[in-house]
Order: sequence, then structure tokens, then C-alpha cells
Amino acid sequence: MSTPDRLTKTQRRDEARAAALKLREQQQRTAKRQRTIAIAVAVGGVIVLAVVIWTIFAQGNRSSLADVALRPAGSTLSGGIPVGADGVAGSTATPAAADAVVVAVYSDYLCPICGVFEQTNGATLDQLRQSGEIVVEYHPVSILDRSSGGTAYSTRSATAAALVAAQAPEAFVDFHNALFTNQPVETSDTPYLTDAQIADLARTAGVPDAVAATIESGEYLGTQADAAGKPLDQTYVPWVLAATEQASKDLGQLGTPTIVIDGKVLDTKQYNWQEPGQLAQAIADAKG
Amino acid sequence: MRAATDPSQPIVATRPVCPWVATALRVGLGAVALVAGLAKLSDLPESVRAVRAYQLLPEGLAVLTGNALPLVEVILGVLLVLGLFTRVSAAAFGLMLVAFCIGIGSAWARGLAIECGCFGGGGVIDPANTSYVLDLLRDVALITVAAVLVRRPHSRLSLDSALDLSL
Repeated sequence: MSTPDRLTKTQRRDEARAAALKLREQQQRTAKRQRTIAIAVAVGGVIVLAVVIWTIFAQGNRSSLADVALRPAGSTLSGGIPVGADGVAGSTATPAAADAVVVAVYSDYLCPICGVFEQTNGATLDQLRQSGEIVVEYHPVSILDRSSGGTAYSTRSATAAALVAAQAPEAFVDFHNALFTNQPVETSDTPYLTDAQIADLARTAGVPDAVAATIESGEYLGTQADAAGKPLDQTYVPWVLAATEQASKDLGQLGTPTIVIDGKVLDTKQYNWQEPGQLAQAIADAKG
Repeated sequence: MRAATDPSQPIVATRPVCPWVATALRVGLGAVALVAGLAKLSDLPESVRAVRAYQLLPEGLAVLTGNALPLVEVILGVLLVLGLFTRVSAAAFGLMLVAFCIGIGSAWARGLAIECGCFGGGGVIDPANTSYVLDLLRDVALITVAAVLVRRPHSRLSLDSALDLSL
């Protein structure tokens, strides 16, 4: 009946020891869990804080086009450089018919298909523009720096285009065309155009030497910001970055080339611009 | 039988190979997260554009995701490589991968022609160059690895075991 009574002293001691051991194990487990939780809270807190600070910083680092200090004169707040019949970039007195269709062309100077677009439709656009039927809005964007072998060619070429639009607006269209005619191939082993080569294209397009020289020296990118004491926002790089961001925001899917006719993205299934005449047709249809 | 093994690490005693396999899986998964995050970290605007191209999130959330995702991936990658809070880290990265799969699958289903942007890049591409199947297969493989680690988080050379944390 009374089992405990029949336990020997040794048995009782063993039992007590086992109970003590169990208790200690439990205490150790609790301590371990508490320590784990403490470390988790500390590490987790640091991580959350880091992510929050990082995100706030990243969000604040984006400036909208309206906040960019230096914008090419006459450029739109959607990042476009309008050119009318007189062929002068951003000319406010752009002479064009009142019902002129606005054709916006988003392109990256490194994008091969953009080159094909210019080849196929450049002349058509120039012609329609000169006759005052359309206003061409050039949107240079920079999305292919990754594919330019570390030379940031997309950003450099777009910045040069913005600089020319601002400081030699009458040479802009020719310079734009020259960049496409001399487009480097989008692979890692081709030599991308150097600043000096871009400057040469600008000179040939009729850009005054004083402006071309700032491209040649790299000054247009603000690389001499320290030496000249010139702040970075005195270049058109922030404009190119903000214009690219705005284009991505406006289009949702920023692919190049994207053609927008009077605010409507050109449906390339309906109008295949790779076939001559299709773009003109789309413009005529938009005119109604 | 059970009593002979260390109660905190029963698997070690019974299947000594397992923790080393877990180490390999953990470091592998962490390396993928780390590489993916670092690739995006170098160009945040591009990361935002890549998220936008999926056309799934509203503008504000897309920007937030594009900015925060690279850092989160780097952090989870570091935690996995170090083996700190392996189970939670693997679970978190696994859930992110599930979300990526949903995004890629939905882009595919909607007939979008975009790059996944998983390791930088992203955005619109030629429809002939899309690689949705490969992207999904890779992500499913990674999800499997993450799931194994959630079930068996104990591994050698981990901070979890060095700090003797309860998982």
C-alpha cells in the first residue's frame, strides 16, 4: 500500500536528485529562451531601424523634376524637350499649327531598337515637324547604364543631349540624330563613346566649341565639381535622373523606345513602326 | 535510447550528416539573397522601375518596395550566411520568394514582357527574351531550400549554435 514507506534511503535520494535535475533543466531552458528573445529583440530592432532609416533616406533622395535646379529651358515637367517647326529645342515660340499633334519619343541613346526607330522614322518625324503638323517631344532617359561596361554611357549621352538642348538649342536635333547614327553596340566588349568623342559629335552637329569643350573635359557631368568649386546640381545629371524617374512613373512600364502620340502610348501591335509609313499613319489617325 | 543523445540537438546524434547539409543549404540560400540584394542596391531607381514594371503595386508602395527590398535581401542574406536566427530568416526569405513567384506568374499570365529584375536590371524587354519559366523554377527551388531550413534549422558553423539560441 504505502509505497513511499518501502523506498530505501538511496531510492529516495535518487528521486530527489532527478527532480532537482529536472527543475534545473527547466530553468536552463527558460533562461535560454529568455536570452534568445533578448538577442532577437535587439537584432530585430537594429534591423527594423536600419530599414526604416534607409527607406526614408532613399525616398527623400528622389527629387521630382520641378525640384531640379537646372532644367533645359523650355523642357516640360514630364522630362520632354519639345521641338517645333523651327527646329530649336525648347523654343517657346515653337511655330506649329494650333492643332499640331504632340509626338513624344522616349529613348535611351544606348538602346538598339531606339536606333532602329530613328533610322526608320527619324526623317518622317523631321518632315512632319518642319511642316508644322507635329511637335516632337524628345525624352532622353537613362536606363541602360548597367549594359555600358561601367562607362555610364546612357547617363552621359542623355546629359550631353540635355546640355546641348539648353546651351545650343538650334543644334539639338542634329546632335540627337548624330548620337544614334554613331550609337555604340550594347555589349560589354565594345568601346563606348568617350566624352571626347561625344564632344566631336556635338561640334559636327554645330554646337559651339565653348559648349562642346565642357563635354570633352567631363565638366558636363560635374566631375570637376571640386576643382571648380561647382556644385553637382549645376550639371544636367540630376535632370536626366529625375526625367527618367518621371518617365517611369508616367508610363508605368518604361521601355525604350516608347512613342506617345497626343498623350496616348502608341500600340505597336496596331501600328508597327518598324514598317515605313506606319508611324505617319498613326499620327494621321490621331489627328482625326 | 533518447537519453543517450543530447536533448537539445537530437538530430546531431542520430543523423550526423544533417547539420552539414543544413549548413550548405543555409549558406547557399544566404549567398543568393546577398547577391540579389547587392546587385539592386547599386541602382535604387532601377530597382523601383523594375517593381513598377510588374504593374501590381500602387505607385507609393512600388517605390517603397523598390527602395527597401534590396536592403532587406542583403540583411536576410547576412543572417543566413552567419546562421543567426536561421529558422526565422529562412521563413522570411521563403515568404518573399513566394511573393516573387506570384509577381512573376502574374506578369506572365497578363502577357507582360518584362525582366524579373531579381538580380538587378528589370523592366520591359523583347517578348522573345522573357524567361518566366526559368525564373519560376529557380524561385521554387529556393523556396524548397528555405522550407527545409525552417524544418531543420540546426546547422554547423552557425551563430545560432555558437550563441546556443533556442530555435
